[in-house]
Amino acid sequence: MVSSSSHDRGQIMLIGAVAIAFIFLGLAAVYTAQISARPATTGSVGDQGAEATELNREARRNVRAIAIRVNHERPYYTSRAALRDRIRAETNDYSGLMAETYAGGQGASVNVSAGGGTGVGTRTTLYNDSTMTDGGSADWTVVDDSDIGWFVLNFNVTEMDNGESFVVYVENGTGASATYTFTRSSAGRSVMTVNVSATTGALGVGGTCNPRGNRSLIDLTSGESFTSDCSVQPAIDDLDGPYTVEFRNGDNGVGKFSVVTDDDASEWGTFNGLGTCPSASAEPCTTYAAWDVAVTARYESGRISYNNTQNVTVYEGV
Amino acid sequence: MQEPDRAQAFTLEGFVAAAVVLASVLLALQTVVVPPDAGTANQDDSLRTQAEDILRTQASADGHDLTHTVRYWDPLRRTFDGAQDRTVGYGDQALPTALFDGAFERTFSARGLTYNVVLVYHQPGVAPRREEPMLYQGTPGPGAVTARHTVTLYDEMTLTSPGVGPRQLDQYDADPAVDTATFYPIPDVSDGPVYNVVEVRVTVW
Repeated sequence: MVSSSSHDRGQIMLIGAVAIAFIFLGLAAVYTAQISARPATTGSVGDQGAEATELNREARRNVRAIAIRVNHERPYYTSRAALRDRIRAETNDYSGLMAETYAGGQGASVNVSAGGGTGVGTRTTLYNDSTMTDGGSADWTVVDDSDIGWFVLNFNVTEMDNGESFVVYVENGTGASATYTFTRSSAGRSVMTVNVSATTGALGVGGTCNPRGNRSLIDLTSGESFTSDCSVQPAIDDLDGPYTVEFRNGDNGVGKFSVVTDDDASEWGTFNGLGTCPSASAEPCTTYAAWDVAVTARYESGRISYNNTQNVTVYEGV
Repeated sequence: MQEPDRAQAFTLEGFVAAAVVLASVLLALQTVVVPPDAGTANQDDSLRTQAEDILRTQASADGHDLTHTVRYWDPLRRTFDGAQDRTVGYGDQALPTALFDGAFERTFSARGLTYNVVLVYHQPGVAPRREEPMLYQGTPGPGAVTARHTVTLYDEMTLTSPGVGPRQLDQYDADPAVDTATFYPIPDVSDGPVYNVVEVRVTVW
């Protein structure tokens, strides 16, 4: 026979096991209920968060696009304030269109603005067709030890002499260089040839950059042409800045050009003596260009409120 | 004989207790949790997310981005390039591969789903926004979901349909009464470099 106390102990163990089993089942039920009871609106808030993020991305992209167009739509700006006011006004126009779009579609209130902290760089430009000389000097320094955001040559090919070469020499802080030689050809279909030599290890690649009409536009920062399928390598973007740029035989190059650097206006004239636009004669001059812009994007809906200000470098990734 | 009996009783009770605990643990582990996205509402969210992902991917594509899609207009035929007409756009046809690279067909048509792609653009002044169907397959059914993405056009951009010339957008006319081949339905609504802000609206059901 089993004693009464030992029998009780065995029963207590059994009852304890059943109790533990119920605790396990209870915990499982509570856990399941908690997961199933997550609010169904979580996704909606997530969607609106994604919309706010998307607005921020679009604002950054489009204020940058607006600033570039404002920089180059006029021959020159007479003051920093005139340039900043123009960027602000165009951004406001864009913001109004975005506000109407979001109000009609998503039911959200949005606003995009370009703040007063616009960083101003320098645009060195020849805005009327002429030879690419400086005060009669055919060899001169266009950019001295600066970052370049934009460098476009706009040749009037029919005004250039056959077989006479115009040269652009670019060197960076490490001594790597590229030399671009532009020549109007006298025969055949190759109206404008570009030869490139470089010290970057890679062979320079040039080509035939024929004009559309009489103009040949070449973007040296990207190495692409706006008027033909040609491209040149290395482009300026392939060399690390800061850069020094020299024009050689500038009297052989006819047309316009525009270079935007991060130089402050206080540095104007220290290396090439260029005057402030408007130039008294058909010569290169310096004017203002937006280099970076403070962009604020605001998104308001019933569920979320989002406000973000960021500094955008205008020519980054162009 | 008391000691072996007691040991046997303890052993048996121990086995029973262990079996009960094990059974409860297994039962707890087998408990099925119904995930929240198995419901209809979350299926809708999933469809919307897929449509938004296609739009966002296209918007950030190099070369053929979403503005390329909006400008895929044939001014001679006065429709999107290769489309049936202005009422239904591409209608029951698949979108050209130059637009979205077949993403909508693979994602929705292949699963028996239907979708519309409509461009919503601003008009000058205070006139309400207007719609231009790019691909219209009918009135959306119950449970339809909508995804949107905005694109900004600029004055100096050009149309992107094959064979179209270098004419800039601001040199086209949004008035359908114009005689020449310079009709583009989306107008220039700003004096500055911005041409228009267009909402690409995709409805799936």
